[in-house]
Amino acid sequence: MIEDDIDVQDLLAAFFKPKDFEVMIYDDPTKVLNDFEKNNLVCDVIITDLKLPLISGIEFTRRLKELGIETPIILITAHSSAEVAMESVKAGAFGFVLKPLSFPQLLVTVERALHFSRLSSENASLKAVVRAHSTGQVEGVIGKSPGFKQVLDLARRVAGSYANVFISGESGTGKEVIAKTIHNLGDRREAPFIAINCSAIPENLLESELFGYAKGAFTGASDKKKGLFEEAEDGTLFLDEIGDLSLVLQAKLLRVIQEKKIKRIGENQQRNINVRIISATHKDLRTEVMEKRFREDLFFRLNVIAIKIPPLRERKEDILPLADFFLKKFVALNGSLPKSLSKESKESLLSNPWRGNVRELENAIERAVVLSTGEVIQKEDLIDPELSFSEPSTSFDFAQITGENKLPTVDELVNLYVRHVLKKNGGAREKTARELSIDRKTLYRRLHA
Amino acid sequence: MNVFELPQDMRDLYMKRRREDLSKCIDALSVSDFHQLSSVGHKIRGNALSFGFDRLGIVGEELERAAEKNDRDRSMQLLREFEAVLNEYHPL
Repeated sequence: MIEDDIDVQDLLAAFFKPKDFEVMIYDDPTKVLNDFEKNNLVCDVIITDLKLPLISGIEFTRRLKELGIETPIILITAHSSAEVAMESVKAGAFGFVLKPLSFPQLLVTVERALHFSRLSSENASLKAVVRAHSTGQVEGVIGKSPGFKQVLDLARRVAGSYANVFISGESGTGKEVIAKTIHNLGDRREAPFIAINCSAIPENLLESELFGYAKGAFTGASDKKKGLFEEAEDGTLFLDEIGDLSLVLQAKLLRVIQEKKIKRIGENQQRNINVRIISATHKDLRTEVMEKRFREDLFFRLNVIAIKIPPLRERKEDILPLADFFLKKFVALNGSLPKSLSKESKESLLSNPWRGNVRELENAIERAVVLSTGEVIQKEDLIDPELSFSEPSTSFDFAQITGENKLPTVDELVNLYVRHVLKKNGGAREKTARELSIDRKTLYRRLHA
Repeated sequence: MNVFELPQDMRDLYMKRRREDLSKCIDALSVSDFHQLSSVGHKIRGNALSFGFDRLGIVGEELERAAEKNDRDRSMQLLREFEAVLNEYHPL
């Protein structure tokens, strides 16, 4: 509160303090500006008189906005002119209240200002989360372990080159995040970054996705379509799970990399492309080559620079910073009150093997944010009874579904088996779908049946 | 009109401070310091109604106006009225 009239100071303090407001009183607006500048002052709302010594309330508002302080300002004034109102709004004031003070009006204005302040703050948090996700800047990539620092260092160094990069690592370690980081740190950052999961799309559809097609090239091709190589022009194409690419498509991809040209399906015209390829897989590609499931020549073309992301269990230093990041993200996305992790829940996070890696950790934190009722997330909130942290069992317990007189249906049996495999894989859905030879949609349907 | 019930001791303190203002105003008028008179009038106009002293608020407003016009007689008359309001107030 900025007010040079001691009576009004007393009055406002007497009104707000019993309502659980912490009231700070200033009589000099320049002191408030100084305190904000030196980060000595944090408040949710400012009430200031219009007529003040040294500078007016409107001038104060203008200067505060120039400092980039977005705290809402309510002006109180005895001058009820439209001109003053206009000037206040132009200066950036949230609102103004006339003297003599009407306390209901003042309270409503303060409550609206606080609501606005909360929304602005949530908006800023969400923007920060979205920015960190969409740009993938190194600042937004969480990890301080030596293993992860090496990964980031390599990503930084390769970002400036045009060489193809091959990223390996278990499912959920963040291969796409690193690919995007390389893209964002390099000269191609203004151009598109396009990611495709080669294992998630049937082979014939993947070919048309990658290369595009001419009108009438096949049944259903009612119009021509650009492929992802063309969509990613001047940018980066991230081919995830490249180890699952068929030998036929491997040959086509090799030709694209060698010639830097593509041909849409159903066309004879060659089109030049300028795309950096970053590929990734959770498989051991050298073994795939040895067993003739992956072309050696393609492997060497893709594997110009290799980056291996260590699993989360080998970089335990990253678990709590990542958990904290996800906590803030999901609190912001869910509009929850700020939450923290209890000591026991932190210990539990650190001792979990995280077979599903960062993705599993993210899922666990999201679940805990949604389900926890208090401000502190307890160990119990982190444990999903369906996917508990216990060591995986390879045995399958039929007793839980067989009643005295009732045998399970085939569907019930399949659903239970799907849950069992997901639990064994620590919640890694993609890996589970692959192991079960079903697509992710089927997996989802089975889990929620 | 207000949801806020003002503590009695605050009203007492407010009127005590106005008595000091009245004294300052009498001194100011004796040296024709209309700026000081206007300043006190402005302050009372702004805060008296918030404390529930409506008549005093009107006195403050008229005092500010009279002082801006350097109107000695009207200012003197308003200071008498100011004193009367203070005298009529009896702290509990």
